Amino acid sequence: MKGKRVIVLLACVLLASTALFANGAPEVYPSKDIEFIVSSGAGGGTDAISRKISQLAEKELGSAIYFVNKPGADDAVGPNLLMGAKNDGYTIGNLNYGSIINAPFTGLIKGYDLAKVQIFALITQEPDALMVGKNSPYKTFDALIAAAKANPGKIKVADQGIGSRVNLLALKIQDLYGVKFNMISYQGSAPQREAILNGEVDAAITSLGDFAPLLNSGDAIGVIEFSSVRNGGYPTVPTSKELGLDESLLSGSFLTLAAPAGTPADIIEKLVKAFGSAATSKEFADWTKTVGVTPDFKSGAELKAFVDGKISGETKALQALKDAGVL
Amino acid sequence: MDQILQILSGTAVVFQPLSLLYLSIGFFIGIIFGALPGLTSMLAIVLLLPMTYTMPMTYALIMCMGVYMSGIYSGSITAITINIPGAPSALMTCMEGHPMMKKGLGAKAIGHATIGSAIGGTIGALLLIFISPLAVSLALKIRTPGKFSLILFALIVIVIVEKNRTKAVISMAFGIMLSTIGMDPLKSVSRFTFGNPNLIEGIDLTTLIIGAFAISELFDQSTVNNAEYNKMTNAANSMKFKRSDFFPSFKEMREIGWMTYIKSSSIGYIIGVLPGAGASMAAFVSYVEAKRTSKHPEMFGNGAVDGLVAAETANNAMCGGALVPMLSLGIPGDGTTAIILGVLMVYGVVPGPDLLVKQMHVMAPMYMALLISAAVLMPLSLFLFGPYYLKIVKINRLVLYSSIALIAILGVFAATYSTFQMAVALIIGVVMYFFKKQKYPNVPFILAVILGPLCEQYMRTSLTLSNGNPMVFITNFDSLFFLLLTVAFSILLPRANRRAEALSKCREVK
Repeated sequence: MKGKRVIVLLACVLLASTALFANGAPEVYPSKDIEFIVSSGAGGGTDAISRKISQLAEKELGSAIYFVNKPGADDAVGPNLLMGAKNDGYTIGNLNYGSIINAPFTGLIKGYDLAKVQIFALITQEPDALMVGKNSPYKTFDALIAAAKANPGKIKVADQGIGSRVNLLALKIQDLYGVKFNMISYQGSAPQREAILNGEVDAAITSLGDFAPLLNSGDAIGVIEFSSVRNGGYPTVPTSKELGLDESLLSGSFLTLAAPAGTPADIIEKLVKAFGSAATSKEFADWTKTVGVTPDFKSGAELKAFVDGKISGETKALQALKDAGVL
Repeated sequence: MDQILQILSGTAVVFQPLSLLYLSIGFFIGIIFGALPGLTSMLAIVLLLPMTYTMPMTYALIMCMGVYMSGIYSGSITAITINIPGAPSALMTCMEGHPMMKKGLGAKAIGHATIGSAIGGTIGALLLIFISPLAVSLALKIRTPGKFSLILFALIVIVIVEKNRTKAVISMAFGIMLSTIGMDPLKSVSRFTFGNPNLIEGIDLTTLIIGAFAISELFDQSTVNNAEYNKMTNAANSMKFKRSDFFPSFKEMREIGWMTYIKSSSIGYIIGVLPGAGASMAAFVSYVEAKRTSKHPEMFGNGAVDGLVAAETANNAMCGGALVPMLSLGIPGDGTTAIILGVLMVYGVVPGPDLLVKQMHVMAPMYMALLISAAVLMPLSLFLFGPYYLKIVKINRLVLYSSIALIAILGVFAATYSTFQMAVALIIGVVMYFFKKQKYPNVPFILAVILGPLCEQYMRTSLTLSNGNPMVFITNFDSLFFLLLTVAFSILLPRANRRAEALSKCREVK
């Protein structure tokens, strides 16, 4: 009987103490671990960049960051979860090309709205490129276009699914040069690499970083990167700007960080600072070279201009293709 | 010569006390995650990821190898003892291992599964060390149409190998239907989601496996009263086991046939090298091949040791194989190697043909860790824990099955972070319980869920490659080969089935 009373008493004390802590000194953010929702599966490029940048930012934040991988639906499942999360700064996540451009355009997930998140930093950019196998006869962009003109529908180009970013780029090239490729869909960049290696396709479009293993070994050749500045990791690949290609062909993915809308400004500021110094650190710059992405930290008004520019430009292109009945 | 030297120096690295400690920790974690339904070795590595960043890469990789090897093997423990595969790779083990357990041959089943896994794992690791470049060039011979035909081979053979083919087809069709829910693999459209945002992610494989095995088994147990249960498990429980009972004798192994071990290892390794298919496929193909050539096919489905050994040997040989395309091409062979690829990336190591030539010192400890896990740790764990595995069934049935169901459901959440998927697992459990009552086999269901999406993808890609001409499957040599193999098995397997029937009739007469 006595034991029971002690337990009841203890429980009361414990309950009371929680109230005490709750009313204690105002918490300094961050006082607990931060959840990071990754929009792709564990083991991919997006996942690696997210983990690396967080590993560096953790030091300044002084709080651990743990990861929840939510891949799927054009990289929209993860961000969708972020949109519904509590805006106390303890849940953040990444948004990339698919989450910002494709997902709102296709409207696959009901209630998916970019207004529900606050994008606070751009971390990396990853321009798209066109690669061919080492024995390919098309080692320049012009040669490939000439071949496509001569054999309409015969040149096989590997993309990542109908309506994907790289598919969109291939469609733009077709439109601009009046050629026709045979576009082959693969799920992600790993099977694209396989297809180049076993000679199943003539060319593949994705980022240079995705082809790093084959570019390093010489099994694949970068024909062109659709960017304006040469890639630090692969300086021998010519850019589309150098070759005088139309500006609408500039294409690529990027990785931004976001928190649910309404996260307090001082918390956002802390996050921007921590991730900013991580993204501009030498360690990060060295690391990004190995995976072939370009660190490009942007925040504030500069970031807003970047995101808005991407949305209006790419959405217009998507709409044009939809109107033309291609998508 | 240089390569051998580097392998030797890699061995020296692994035999340092700290490396051995990490390897053992990894191996032990793998055993637990592999044995518990719902928790997989893949999940174990995902959860270990943050920890690995703070340690040197060599240790991280060594630990991952331990988890990988043991996680694929230990699914067999729960498969044998309580008829719930702890990992998808142990599907076929269930079919032979549990009947053995019921006959009181639990120790023998676990012993053969472990030693088979050890042999398969060792051969797989050795093949990884010595013939990787050859294996890669072979794998690159198989293009998308060939992959489609290989998957088609598996899907057709699944049906043929079952006793009641109509029911197997229905069960498989149900699996394929469920696997199409969610995003289209190659296009930005959703399918069969009926506007429900939860369904856009599709139904996870873990969800379906837990539903079909753990939950439905729970219902099944609930319909068996205690007296019946005691009668059923009496044979298994009344036996007293010595530690030595767990180690199969050479005579038994000779009966199974050394060829079975070698053939299963090769099948496992080759399927591992082909990106996409994975451990369950390796176990299945090897199992079917064992049935085809077995001296006593009538035992299959009723506790055939050679079927059990073939499946377990192959799924662990797959480990070595799956690392080949990941390390030499940066193309992961299965889900777990995809995450190990992520570990390498975070350390700034880019896998590729270069890695095997110039950075052998990075890889050598990893190879050795895989080899040691299979050749040393596996038999050792059998010696240490073997008797405890069998004690699982002595736990009160109510506590045992309900806690397994609870862990399994939590495993679903850990894999998907979705309460919706947990609910789906329960529903699938009820549905599959009634399927089982009506004698619909659940192996075709699960294999269809695993292979169906691959089959669809490969077919669509092949057809775009040929501009819609289905002849592509016949004009490609690799594809033609698998199609002919399918035909051969469709003729030979029914023959083995008839032989089995004849033999069992013979026995009845005697």
